Amino acid sequence: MTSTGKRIGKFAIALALVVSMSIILIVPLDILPPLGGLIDPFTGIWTVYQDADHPPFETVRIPGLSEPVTVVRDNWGIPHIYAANEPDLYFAFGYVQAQDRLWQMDITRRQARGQLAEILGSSYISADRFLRTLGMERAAQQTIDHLYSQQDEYNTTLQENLEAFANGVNFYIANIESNLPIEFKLLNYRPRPWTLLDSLSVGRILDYGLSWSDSDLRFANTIAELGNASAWELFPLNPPLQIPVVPEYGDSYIPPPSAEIATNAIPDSLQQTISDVLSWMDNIPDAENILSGWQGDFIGSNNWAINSTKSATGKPILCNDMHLSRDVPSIWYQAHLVAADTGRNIYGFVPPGVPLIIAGHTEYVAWGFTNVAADVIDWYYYKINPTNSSEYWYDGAWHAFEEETVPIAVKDMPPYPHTVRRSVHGPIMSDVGLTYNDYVIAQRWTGAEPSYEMIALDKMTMAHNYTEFIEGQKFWWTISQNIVFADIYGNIAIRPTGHWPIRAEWYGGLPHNGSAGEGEWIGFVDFDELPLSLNPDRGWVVSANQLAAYQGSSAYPYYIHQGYAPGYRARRIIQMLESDNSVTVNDMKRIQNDVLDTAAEAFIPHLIDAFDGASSSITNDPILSAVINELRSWNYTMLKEWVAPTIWRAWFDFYNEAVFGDEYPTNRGGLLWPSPVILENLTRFNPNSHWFNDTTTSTTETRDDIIISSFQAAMAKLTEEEGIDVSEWAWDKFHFVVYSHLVGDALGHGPIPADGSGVTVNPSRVNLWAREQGAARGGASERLIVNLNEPLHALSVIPGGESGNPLSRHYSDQLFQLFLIGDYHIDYLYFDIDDLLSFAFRIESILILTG
Amino acid sequence: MSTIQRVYGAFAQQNLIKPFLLTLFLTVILLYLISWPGAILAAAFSGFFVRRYSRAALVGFLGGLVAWGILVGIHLAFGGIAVLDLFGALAGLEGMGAALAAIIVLIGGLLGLSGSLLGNAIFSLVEQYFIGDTEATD
Repeated sequence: MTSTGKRIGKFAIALALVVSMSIILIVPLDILPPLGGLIDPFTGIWTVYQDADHPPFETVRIPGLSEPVTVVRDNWGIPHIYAANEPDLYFAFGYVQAQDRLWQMDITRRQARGQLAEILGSSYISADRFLRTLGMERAAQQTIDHLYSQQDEYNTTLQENLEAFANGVNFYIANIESNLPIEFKLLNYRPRPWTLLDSLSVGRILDYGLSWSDSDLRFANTIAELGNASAWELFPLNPPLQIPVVPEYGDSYIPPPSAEIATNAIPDSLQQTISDVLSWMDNIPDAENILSGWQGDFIGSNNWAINSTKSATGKPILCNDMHLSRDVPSIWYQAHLVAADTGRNIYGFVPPGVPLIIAGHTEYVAWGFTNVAADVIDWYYYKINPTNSSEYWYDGAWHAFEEETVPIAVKDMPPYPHTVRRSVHGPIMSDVGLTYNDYVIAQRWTGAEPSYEMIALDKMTMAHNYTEFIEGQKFWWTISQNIVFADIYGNIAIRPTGHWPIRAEWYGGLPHNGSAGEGEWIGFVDFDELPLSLNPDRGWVVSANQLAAYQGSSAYPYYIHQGYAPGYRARRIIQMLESDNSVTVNDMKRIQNDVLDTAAEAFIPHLIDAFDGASSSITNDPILSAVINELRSWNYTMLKEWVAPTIWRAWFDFYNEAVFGDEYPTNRGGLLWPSPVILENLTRFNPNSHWFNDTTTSTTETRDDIIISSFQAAMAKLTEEEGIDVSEWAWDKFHFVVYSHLVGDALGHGPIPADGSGVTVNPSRVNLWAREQGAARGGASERLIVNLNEPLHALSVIPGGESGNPLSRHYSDQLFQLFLIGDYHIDYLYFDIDDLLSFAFRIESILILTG
Repeated sequence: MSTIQRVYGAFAQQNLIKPFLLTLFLTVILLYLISWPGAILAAAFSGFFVRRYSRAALVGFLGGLVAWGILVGIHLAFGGIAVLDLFGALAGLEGMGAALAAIIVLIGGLLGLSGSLLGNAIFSLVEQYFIGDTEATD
């Protein structure tokens, strides 16, 4: 080879090496970014540790800020923001939220607005289509339009404050340069500017989790499967054994009006459409990962308040723990906001991206939320014009669908053109993923309509007493909540609150024949007509997602809801409050962390009785008798070290299945399953019910037959999995909680063995037999205890921390140092910054924002 | 002797210390200015001034390795290992932060190696036209 040839060969080798290295560092792997950007020593992932914690003292110049704002972060990293006026306060609030939770804010707005495929790729197009069809972004925009059309002084001021929040977020984004949170680096994108529409959309995704429901369709399926009479027997409007949130409208069982409800025959072809729509919605690609945090069986909450007749402090005590997804970063961000000009002084919880504190307390009042699960959504089916599929039959004529096509941005691909068709009632949900010629199905949901929670929160957080508080509460429309209240004057109250539709036919729990004009909303229940407990003689108000009030009675004529919690948590909270007339703050801590299972308390005595009455071949069985002995000495507390919780839960799973499973098909997708309280009622009061008969046998079984056979089967399963030594069946082998992160398990925590069950006051619902893989993803997402005798020193905790940076000391400090051991931190609510600074040992950093 | 030949002659010597230091210095500067492609450019420039292909490879590799090693080492000294542990865990490599640091430094060395070889090869191709034939190959 010539010299030149050699040189060319070496050049080729060198060039190939450079190209190879460049390809390795440039080409992204799936949704992951190019490796080169990640490992870059100056701009790569290293900035994550550099920004893990805030510097002890920092000054940031912000053009346009009218007065300096001081942000004091305490030893939990919680910001105490002191501003001279409200616009500056909200600007700073946006800035510090972005400092701590920018990626969480971004992913949440993308969930609400259906913009996931833009960063996660084409597999999320279906999820985006579903989310956009729901109409949350549209409703948020309509709310803004309405807000802007009302140019009175109040609305103008509120707009300025909300926009100041967005400006604060955007100032942070504009100046962050390469120091983005790790999730942006891993997913290889930058945040776009924040808008007021984003803030309102974040509120809507909460609403999706708390009030959107497809149970009307599932109930239609269930009726088709079980028959009308059986379905209503298992899913009555007013189930037995309830203590309603508001017992003033009847505190004992009232026969349901369900027998009077005509169940319209649903055409066969529509039935198939319903099943297909449910199947599609249950299996949206990748939705399990990205949306299950909002809609899960863990959704619930507890709140209660006692007045001075029960309080050891002489003033009311209010408690709240909202049960939501326990992701990390925590779904809640804590903050203390002070504005000198208006006297605003509030401490509480807010979902990152929302400018106003949602639940919390001031120097005068405290409030908290639980979900009502009010029926604020209806489903309508329409006949399609056989000669023109763009028309549907309604009100005696063919009407054209309103159509809107919007592009869905997709990572590394051209935009996907998404078309939403709307009927007179709302978006056609059956269009998402399916095409039908006979019928289409639409929904009308209050979450897709304008609402004014921002006004509600603004006014509620400025209230000095109950009268002022309800002036704000009246604006609480969309996310129906049991709002508990207490003030320093001794008042306590609870009112399930929201914009509840009034239907022409009263009931709204089944799909309506939209073509026939059924199910029209003819109004909403007036605020003054919502159920209310105000300063009841019993001295307490309690809600835990149970029945709001006995509905359909002469005392409370309105239809509220059909699906809600079975009432075991409420039963236990009331049990503890009733047994003590001198309740302390420490008692409230104990109640919030209580893990006594009142369902076990109701069922286990029947198991023991049935066992004692069983044949000697059963009672002499060494394993079964050892198991029963565990239960005999058990106090129904679901402690993780104990064996009895495992036995109880394993048996209940088998018992529940044995009683109802034979009436259900093997494929139960799209069907409702009865509440445990229905089974409790049958077990306690109707041992010869037809439900106990196993329809697969030729004999007739009664309650005790099923109790024993299911007990034997459950214990055989436990023996098979855990061996014959009953002492080895501890609950901590089955019951786990997990704190997960959307990007990957490494950013989360767990599975961690835990006390409790799905119906304990401190809840965690698991898939028992899946063990670690079936760990509870939700539960108490915050805890708050406000002693109105000492409102400046309330107690609270979140199962995580303030920071979204996984390397920050505040990423999970509250989880491990407080939450998991049932402890709390103090919410210092000082209006004067000097009072706060006098606790200098608690101050971690000071940030001065100056103009 | 032309000016180009004199400049080249001043650098292109058997002593590898100067090209090594040049690679090291330029790598840090260009990483800061233009991110990781700067490591290739820096080594390529140094590769011009090393006569032999194999020596250019050595200079580029060591220069890149040490430059990245210093920068990564600074991060590790201030807590950067936690980032790598986290990143490793996300990739299913739990507790492998130190190994990842070594791999990153090795990548730095390979970038230097590829750059310096390219620079050397380019130079050897063009030198005959501008400088005259030298011993810049082995």
